[in-house]
Amino acid sequence: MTATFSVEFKDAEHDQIKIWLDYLKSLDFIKVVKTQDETKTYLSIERIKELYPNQWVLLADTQTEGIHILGGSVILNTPDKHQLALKGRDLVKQYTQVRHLYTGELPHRKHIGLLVRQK
Amino acid sequence: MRKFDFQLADEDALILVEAYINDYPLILALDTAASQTVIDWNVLFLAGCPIPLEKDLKNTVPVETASGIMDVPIYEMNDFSVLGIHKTSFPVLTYDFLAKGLISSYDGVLGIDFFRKQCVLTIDFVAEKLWLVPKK
Repeated sequence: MTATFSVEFKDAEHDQIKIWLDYLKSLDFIKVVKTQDETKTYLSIERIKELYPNQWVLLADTQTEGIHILGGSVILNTPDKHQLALKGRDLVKQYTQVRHLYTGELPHRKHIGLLVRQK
Repeated sequence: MRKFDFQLADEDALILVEAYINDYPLILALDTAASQTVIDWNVLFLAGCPIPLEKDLKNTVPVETASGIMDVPIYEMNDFSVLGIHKTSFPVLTYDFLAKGLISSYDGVLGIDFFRKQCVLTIDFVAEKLWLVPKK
């Protein structure tokens, strides 16, 4: 089980903030340190997977190469795809270049493509 | 003639193509063994289709799948594009993939109903390209 806390600084320009965040990142028991700058700003797909592991994420302003997503701005994240659909439906209309993605490892398996509609 | 690239990165890879529902992009696996196109209910809803909740979908058809026969709801889409072909009235099967334990990198299966009597589809597995020639 993981736990998430947020910290609000009195002074966004304080010179100790970066030192303090770097210290947090260095601790073994800290999984991820997320800064406000990294919400709703463009992130690479590698950083998105790091910040939102095993999540369904809705991305805006995505950049792609073929069918592959290179990055985007995270506008919604949830471990439940059903919740992504219910909560994301309105968000899709508010942003451009919106796509969804699962950040976890997908099962590697063989596929058998039989699917025939019965009369 | 329209040409599209695909990638079969490993022996279990599928031919994945980009589709659009109401301009929302999704990924479908091209499946010539599927007579019917199937799309995850979650994605149809996300794309803004005026679709009822999956439990409220009434119109079902029996479908033979690799794991047996199942009743699957059918839903008619009015804005669907794949591989440069746009359809304004196209019925697809839909169900909640996640509820059926299916987590995959694609959002559905593009069946031969999409191409039937409408175009010539050529797949080159060596060059990893496919060509589509719409029939006049």
